[in-house]
Amino acid sequence: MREFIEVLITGITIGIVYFLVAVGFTLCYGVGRVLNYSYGSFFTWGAYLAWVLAVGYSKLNYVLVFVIVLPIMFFLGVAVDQVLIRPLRKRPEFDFSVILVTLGLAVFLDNLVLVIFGARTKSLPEFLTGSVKLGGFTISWQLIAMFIFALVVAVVLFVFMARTRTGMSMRAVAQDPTGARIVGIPLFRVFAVTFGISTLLCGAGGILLAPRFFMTPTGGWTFLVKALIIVIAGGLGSLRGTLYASFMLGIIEAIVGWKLGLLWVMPFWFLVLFLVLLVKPAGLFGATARKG
Amino acid sequence: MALLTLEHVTQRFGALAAVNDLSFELEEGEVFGIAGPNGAGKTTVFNLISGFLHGSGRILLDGKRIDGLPPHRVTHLGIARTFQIPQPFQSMTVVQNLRIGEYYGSQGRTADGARRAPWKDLSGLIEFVGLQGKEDRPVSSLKLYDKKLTVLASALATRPRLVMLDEALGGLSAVEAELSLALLQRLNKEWGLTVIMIEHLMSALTRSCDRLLILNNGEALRLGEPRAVVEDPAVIECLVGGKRA
Amino acid sequence: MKRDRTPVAALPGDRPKALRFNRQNGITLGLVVILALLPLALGDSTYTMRLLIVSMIWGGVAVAWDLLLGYAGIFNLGQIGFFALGAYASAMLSQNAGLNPWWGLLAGAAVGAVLAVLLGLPSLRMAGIYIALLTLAFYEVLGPLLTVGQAVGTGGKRGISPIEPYSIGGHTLSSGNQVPWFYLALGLFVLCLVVCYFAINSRFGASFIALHDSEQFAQSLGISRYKVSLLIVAISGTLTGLMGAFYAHYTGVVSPRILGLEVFIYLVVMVLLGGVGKFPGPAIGAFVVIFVSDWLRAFENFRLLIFGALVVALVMLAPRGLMGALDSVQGFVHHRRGRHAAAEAPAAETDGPKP
Ligand SMILES: Nc1ncnc2c1ncn2[C@@H]1O[C@H](COP(=O)(O)OP(=O)(O)O)[C@@H](O)[C@H]1O
Ligand SMILES: [Mg+2]
Repeated sequence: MREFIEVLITGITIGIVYFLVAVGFTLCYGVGRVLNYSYGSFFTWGAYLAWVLAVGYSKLNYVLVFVIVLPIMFFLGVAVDQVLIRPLRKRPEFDFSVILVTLGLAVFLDNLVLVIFGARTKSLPEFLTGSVKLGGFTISWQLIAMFIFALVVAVVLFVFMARTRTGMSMRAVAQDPTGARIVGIPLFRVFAVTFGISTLLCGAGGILLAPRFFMTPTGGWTFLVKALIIVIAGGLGSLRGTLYASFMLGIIEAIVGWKLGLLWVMPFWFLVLFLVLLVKPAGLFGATARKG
Repeated sequence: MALLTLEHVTQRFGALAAVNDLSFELEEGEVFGIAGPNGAGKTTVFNLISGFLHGSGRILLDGKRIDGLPPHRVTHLGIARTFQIPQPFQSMTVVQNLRIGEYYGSQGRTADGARRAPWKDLSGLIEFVGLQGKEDRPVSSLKLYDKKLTVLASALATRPRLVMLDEALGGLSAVEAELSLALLQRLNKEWGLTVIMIEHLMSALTRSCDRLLILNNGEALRLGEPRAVVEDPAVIECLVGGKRA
Repeated sequence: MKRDRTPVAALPGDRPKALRFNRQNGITLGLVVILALLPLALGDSTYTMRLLIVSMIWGGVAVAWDLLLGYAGIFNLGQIGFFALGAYASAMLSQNAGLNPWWGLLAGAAVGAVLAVLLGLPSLRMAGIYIALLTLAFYEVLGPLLTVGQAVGTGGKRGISPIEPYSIGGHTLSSGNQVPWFYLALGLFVLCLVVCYFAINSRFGASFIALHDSEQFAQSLGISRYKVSLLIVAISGTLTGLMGAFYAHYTGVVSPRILGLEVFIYLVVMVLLGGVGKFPGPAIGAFVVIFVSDWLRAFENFRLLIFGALVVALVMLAPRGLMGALDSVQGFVHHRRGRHAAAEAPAAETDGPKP
């Protein structure tokens, strides 16, 4: 029983990190109508950049690593949006072009990592070592640090969306792009910022989860798929759905990984997705997926 | 019995009730007009009847329920429609557009189980709408009026009993609008089709409609004899005054 | 990618057009004839023959995939899943159940069809964008599933190998002599081309092109989106599963590696390079990709880097691929010729209004 509760705590912590990653993905679609299939590669890039700073070429403190890597991720995202996505917006088959271009970009970015760092797995050390006993449960400091970091990012994001001008423009664009443009919101700038924030969140997820999984140049795909499954299960574009689905799947991952091994995680996730879609074809909180 | 009946039909988009508790009956052979300010829910009514949206309430054709049917089934039962913005098949020619309607529109069976005979010869239909000489032009090269005609002719090629026209005159020149109006009067008088038309042009409505429905904020404001309806102060207020009451 | 696909050749009224000579079937026929004669020229250059066989396998898959992507507008990203499961089905039947490999072709096709329909049933009811999400998730989960599926005979991470080759009249095909393999592959390749060509240039084809062009209008004219989409998905899945089955017995091995990113990106380049929605462009793209990638073998690690960049470049700069380029050249020539004719005979009828 005690072990079970510890697993549950792990699950909730992973859940909140997955939430960050999935929210970035869903935001990018909700605001900019971009299904970003290179998302997993940004995850990888976040992790590798952190590795360069914390292990490979210097031994920076983790807080500094975050402070350096997150802005880089943001500007990387903005650049991708401006160079690759923006020119496609006038095409009649924008959706399709975006999927292909981001797929190509993903392969390119992954293999750039492969060429630079080689195929051997790397690992980030844990932020903190040791553990603490809390009311009979043993919880590692690493888990606590992860939880706090993720929570801070989530709260900052929430405040940003609710309080700042840019955040409010993003929500306006998500609800009604035409209306937003009419009232003078600069659409393309909002799209770019959204893309930047999205890659930033993904990179943050990469750094937070890298100590838990080994890093490989193509490891990001798993996380793209995880983000996809969370987003479909929760309902595309729905923040609430994304939140619930993240925790549900995070907990499932912890339990399945504990009882059967990590290899079984993805099959179980897919099973859960399948069951959710059987009952609610648009996902838990999706309303617009169905059509005549 | 009425040809088409709407009973307490409602369609919500989130908090907005685009169509709210709407009921009316349509007699066979009638020309029925719908007017109202932008966003009043006119197109939504068409989408509900033709199966693109499934709201609450009941829609009946010849006394049989058709709400809940997918769009192609509604077409097979004899209801055709056009769209506010005509989007014919870009990679096909005019006559190929019509053939799609002719072939797929008559595939199903009518409510009484009979197979509807397809058109023998589309050239009659093409001449009827006035597209002769442009049969083999790719649709992408047509101007708006001809695109509208292509969509209309394709809809007619499905051999409907009831045809619903969404702003057939919108965006046309005065001459083109006059031609279109004459066309739809012939549809009613010569072919015996029942017509529902959404229109902004009041003169066109009073001239050709047997009855007129004014929608505002998704609700029926007035329904009745066109001349009486358009002179109603509430209607004038709604159409001429502010956009929304 | 653009909407100006080669105009539909046949509609209910003008059916024979599919059989009349045009550029689509001209190029297809030329390709097949050249291929059929190639073994005579190549003699026993086993290596080149191998590349050609692999090209034909993927060429078949590419045109089948393009049926969905380019013509029906269904963003299925799980095509390689159909291929892989077709391969596994055939391999497992012959290795674990001892069935004659020939039956595996049927089994592979059936598995491809069933899988495509199963995946299509829920996703085709949803908006197009969901299909891309769901099918990619399916594709990515398949690898782990096959790896943990050791208990049902998938062979786990290492997969299944060796796999029994086909035999004709008591004579077993060997890898030493590629010629029989070549003509077998050619047969299947032609099957794919013919099925796709007639799917596109038929009444049925008209219906899914109509849906792609203008979905609501098509539905309002009596086309059932659901039925048409499901059928086209089934056709594409059948052909892909069939090619997968053949692939298993030709290479003698299937493993989860077939679901790797490398294969996926190659397939994307084949379709893009050939021309999305430009039959038979994707088949030609397959030959180019297989030969170029072989030529790039020396740059092992850089190969995918190049292909990734190529996908980006193609989408950004040349979204209509080789066949699109051919259109432009032809358009240019027509234009020039038209101008010449007009200049030489000013009285000749032009596009202007008639009296
Ligand atoms: N698919 C939809 N989703 C959300 N809102 C919609 C949708 N279709 C229409 N609406 C809204 O419903 C209202 C009525 O629209 P419509 O029927 O198109 O009006 P009109 O009378 O101009 O044809 C409008 O406010 C419109 O924004
Ligand atoms: Mg309207």
